[in-house]
Amino acid sequence: MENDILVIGGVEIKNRLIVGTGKFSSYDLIPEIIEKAKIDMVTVAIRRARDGIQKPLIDYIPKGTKILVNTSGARNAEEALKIAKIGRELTGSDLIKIEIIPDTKYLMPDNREVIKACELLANEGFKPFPYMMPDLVAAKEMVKAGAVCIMPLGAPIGTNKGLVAKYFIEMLRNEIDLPIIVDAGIGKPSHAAEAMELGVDAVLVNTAIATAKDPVNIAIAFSKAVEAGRLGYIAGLPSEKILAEASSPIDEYLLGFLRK
Amino acid sequence: MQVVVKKSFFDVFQSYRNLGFEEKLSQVSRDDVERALAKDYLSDSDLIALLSPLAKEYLPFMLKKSYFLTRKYFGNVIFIYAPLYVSDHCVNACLYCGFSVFNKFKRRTLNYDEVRKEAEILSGRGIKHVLLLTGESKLVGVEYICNVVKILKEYFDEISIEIYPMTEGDYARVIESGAEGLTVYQEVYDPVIYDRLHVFGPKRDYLFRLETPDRGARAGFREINIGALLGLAPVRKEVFFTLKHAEYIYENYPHVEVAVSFPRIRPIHGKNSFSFDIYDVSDEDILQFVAVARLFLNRVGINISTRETKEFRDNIMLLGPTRMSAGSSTYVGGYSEGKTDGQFDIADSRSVDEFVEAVRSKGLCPTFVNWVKEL
Repeated sequence: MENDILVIGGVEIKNRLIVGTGKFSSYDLIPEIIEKAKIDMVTVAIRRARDGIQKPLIDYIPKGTKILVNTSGARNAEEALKIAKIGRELTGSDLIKIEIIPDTKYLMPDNREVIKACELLANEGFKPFPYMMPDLVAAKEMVKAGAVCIMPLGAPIGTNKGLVAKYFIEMLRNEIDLPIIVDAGIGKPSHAAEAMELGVDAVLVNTAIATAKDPVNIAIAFSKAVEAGRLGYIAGLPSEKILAEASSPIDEYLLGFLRK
Repeated sequence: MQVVVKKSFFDVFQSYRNLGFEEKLSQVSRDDVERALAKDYLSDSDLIALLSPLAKEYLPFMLKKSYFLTRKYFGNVIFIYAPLYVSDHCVNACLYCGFSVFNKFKRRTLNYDEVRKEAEILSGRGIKHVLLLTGESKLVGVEYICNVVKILKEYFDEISIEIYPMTEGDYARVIESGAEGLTVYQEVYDPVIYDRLHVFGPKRDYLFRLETPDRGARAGFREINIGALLGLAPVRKEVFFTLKHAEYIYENYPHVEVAVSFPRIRPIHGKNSFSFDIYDVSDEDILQFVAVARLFLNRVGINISTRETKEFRDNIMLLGPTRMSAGSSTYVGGYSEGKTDGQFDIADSRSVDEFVEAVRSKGLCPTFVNWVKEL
């Protein structure tokens, strides 16, 4: 596990829990969580990056933490590109989570515009992290367009419903050669562990941490769950069986007997 | 030549002509309310059930649900903005409004230097989202509005307008100048009462006002805030149409972030009597409407202004609102002159700093910016 480092777009992260910085009751919680849950990468919505009374939100993120800028507020590919450029200027980071949400009722991403944005941003030297509705065909297009990973939603943003889209995420896991990061919908640590056990490379959590009663400890819990799920995946999980099977040596004996 | 008739909320409104709202409201049973409270998606009958006086018995439960939904979808955050009145010249005679042409007082439209002065003071207090307000007059034509928006853009990150209804083309110009949000209250959805209260002036045109959010959305506003001025007409029905209107905007203009307000009529310059009947709206009613709005449209913005008292605003803050004004003056030039009461009397006169502290003490993050200025 010591050497189990995830590399996305040339950046290395050890903790596979990525944390969103929105929705917190106080920006002071952000550095505390990063420190105590040993977070390596956070997302920042550029539309809120400059908010803050004593100092802007962006200055609450400790040096050394990798910043993944997100394009929250963009309704199409062109706006995503504009926000990405502002984000790069503000943070110096060219890692951009492309979030294009033309639907304000359910906050569903627009895969078609996201594909377009991947190409626009990649051409400008950005490393696109496309947030998307898990659809294999769209994901392949995003890879072709220059994405450095794929970020399928587990469930719609803020719903805490868990891996509603599990089957389609597995499909992406099997067919896409880039890192897969499950983003949105992860409501509790067990959801995060479940995602990691599927073999995805990382998970992104915001609402479930930011709106918890004790955000710091829940972040630690998520971090441990991600680690446990990852370790389980690497160690190899047993396959599920419909019928109960005794795991005694008698099996070997019987099989030996039958083979005779 | 092909004549294109654009669809608008009026079509939806018309389809409810035979709704029999009052009758339905009186027939609501406990069963209806409980069933509605157990659902994730509410039908029209569920909405009526939750808006009924009977549903008040379930208010603690409704507010709890509203609290959790709000935290889930918006986080522990309250967005703060302030209004900026730049003109009180108005050609309309609306019986409930301090700017009515019938009211005799010295009116004023700020010149661009005066706008700058107001903007400087307001932005110096930390405000980054400003709501620009005027009456309706030739003195504040589209040219003036565009110029004011451009000036404000130098001081603020986000600009919304709450002015007279414009054409789609004029809205496009205002957006081009830098505005992102449109606030337009129908005031009264009931067309008969609307007619009675809007005695004179272009605001008499009910349909043109009703279709304003349609024109604004088509012109490209990102955020539209609607509402009815509660107290002017039977209240529950007005809230029903406000919420159906919000839902209509969601469905037809999915790019728009929709917000609703539940403003109650306020005294004007201390005068508490009006020349028409006022329908009572209690604190409990507003709590109910906020909760129902949240349950019906989980992600709708809910706006509570300084029309409400400090105590009420502090109490409701956690239970559903997403956006609140602070340190407001409704007086033209009020920030420079230190006057607060103009169009209506302010009930929460705390400064921005004091309000920020109040938000923090509720465990919420006071947030001033929610937009990318350069976009």
